[in-house]
Amino acid sequence: MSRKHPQKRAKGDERLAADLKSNRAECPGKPQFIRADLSEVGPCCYELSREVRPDMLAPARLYADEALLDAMLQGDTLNQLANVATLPGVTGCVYGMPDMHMGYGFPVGGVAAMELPHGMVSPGGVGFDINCGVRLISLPITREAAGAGVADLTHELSRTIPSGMGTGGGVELDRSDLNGVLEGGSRFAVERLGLGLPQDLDHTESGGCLPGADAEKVSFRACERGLDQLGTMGSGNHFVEVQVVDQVLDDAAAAAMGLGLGSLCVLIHTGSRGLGHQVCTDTVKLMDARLAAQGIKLPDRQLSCAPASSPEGQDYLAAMACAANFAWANRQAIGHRVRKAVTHLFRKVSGPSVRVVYDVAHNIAKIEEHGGRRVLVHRKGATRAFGPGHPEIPADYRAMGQPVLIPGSMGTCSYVLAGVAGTGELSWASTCHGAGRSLSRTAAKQATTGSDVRRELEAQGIVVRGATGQGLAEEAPLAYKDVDVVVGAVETAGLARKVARLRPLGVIKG
Amino acid sequence: MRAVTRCGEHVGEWRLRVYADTAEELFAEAARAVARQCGSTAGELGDAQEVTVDARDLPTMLVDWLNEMLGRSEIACAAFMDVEVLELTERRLRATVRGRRVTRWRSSMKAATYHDVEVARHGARWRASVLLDI
Repeated sequence: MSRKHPQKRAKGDERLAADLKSNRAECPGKPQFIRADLSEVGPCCYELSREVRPDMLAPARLYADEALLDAMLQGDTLNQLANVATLPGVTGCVYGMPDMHMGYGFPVGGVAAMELPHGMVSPGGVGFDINCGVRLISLPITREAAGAGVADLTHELSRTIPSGMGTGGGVELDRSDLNGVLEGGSRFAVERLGLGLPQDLDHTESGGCLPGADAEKVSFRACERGLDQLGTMGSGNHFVEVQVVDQVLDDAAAAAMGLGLGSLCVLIHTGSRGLGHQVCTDTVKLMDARLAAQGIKLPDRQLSCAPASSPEGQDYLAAMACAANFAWANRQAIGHRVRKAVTHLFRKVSGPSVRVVYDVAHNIAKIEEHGGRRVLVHRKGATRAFGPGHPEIPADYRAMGQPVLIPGSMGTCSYVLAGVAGTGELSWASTCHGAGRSLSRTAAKQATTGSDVRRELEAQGIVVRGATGQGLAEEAPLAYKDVDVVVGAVETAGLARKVARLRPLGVIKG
Repeated sequence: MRAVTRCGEHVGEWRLRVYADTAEELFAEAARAVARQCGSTAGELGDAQEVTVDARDLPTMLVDWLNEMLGRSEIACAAFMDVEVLELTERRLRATVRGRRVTRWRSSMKAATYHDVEVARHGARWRASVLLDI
């Protein structure tokens, strides 16, 4: 974005600050929405109109079937989505994906687009784990041919991919290399650090490098946290899974992606680690203080924001791009270790035949063109899903739509979807990002134990590595919505179509 | 009375509630609660580090203080269980902290948030509530 015309920008800032102040005066507090507040406006699509809450500047639409909708009506989820619709510069509708659940600031599964140049950018609309996302790698091996090799591969991946919170075991970087990663993302990782193959970049969203990154906008503390975390998985709901293609639902698209029935693949779920967390922490603190100094009160302090054209907004976008690039390079580095592990264990497999199917972000803000307008789309727990023909889709996938990767909960199936035409007007071309939590971690631990979860997974033939008992219980499948139902709602609503279903065979948890 | 901590319910995150006789102990106990989530520790306590946090009010201070400790913890690979708050005003916190090396991490805490953060005195006791992203 241009840094010219400071006077014009300042006027825009003043106008939006005034908008925020006047809008807050009308804020009615925290209404608890009920089913009658929503009108059904399409298949699996419900709308909360501006008439229901006067401070909303745009309607909120959510995608769900009746059961998912009931879950969303519990807690503060819809109120959080409505809060997002109060941010100045919001355009069109704000959207809740079928896996949406309560978070803070934005709900998890929330999508909002802001007018440019002066609409708000909110780090809370991206989340602490900037560019948390998923990479799918296909292997030229069937499950049948691999046999016991699946367990060996799971073990080898758990040995070579550092997991858990904190540092160590990743790619050693000096500060100059870190700056290269922050500004060059996966491309720097491939070309300068030797982590992977050039063709991996073609199948990575944005080529693995978001433009506008400026390493000088990343704090010293954030860099300290990231310096030895490249190539590490982290903890929580992050994982690496060995999977088998269990169902092919779109023959042509699955063939183009190299997803033959019975073939093996590896799914990587991680993000920007402590570096990204610190970028968000730094910016929320700064924007929160600035809003307080101006006497502006938001419905939720984690929605703190600044006009995208303001110095604070520009600095955040530059730092966020750095963290996003770090995350892409992180998945690139882990993918490199996957390729090495596969070629080490299966001697006849060549490195290039271990292919990146696609790599997508699900926590990010991006400038996109929709209906001839450039807008800033925030996706927090939502995945971009461009329809066929979009220029940002890799050439070999362009005719079928952008691949969309939806990880299920631990031990349950994951899905590969493809973007469909016309979703720019339905959801800013977005879909869900996973199954979505339905139980708190405490409730999950009350409902099951780590040893029970391990036993149940092993009974299904799933090898588990690296997980603590507590971690297994917290991430138990019963703590999540049914991914089949969530993906079913996505398809019914016309947000994407199913391509293949993947079943886990080996799970490596942080 | 001893400071106590409780975990509140939140579907995606971790709500920490702390109760103490003094504001200083409230802030110290909140930091200890976060440190206890780090995981298994070993070895001797490290050297004391002085930490200063400036903020505009106590709730903001609590979030900024916990984020300061989360960042330090990750960089030093240590759990800072030994916490003494030396000075606490509406605008400034000064503390010394000492940590032990974490041998196996359990925490997945990303950050403390300002979402519905509360620090207040209720009768004779201080109470804090803060949501952490995990």
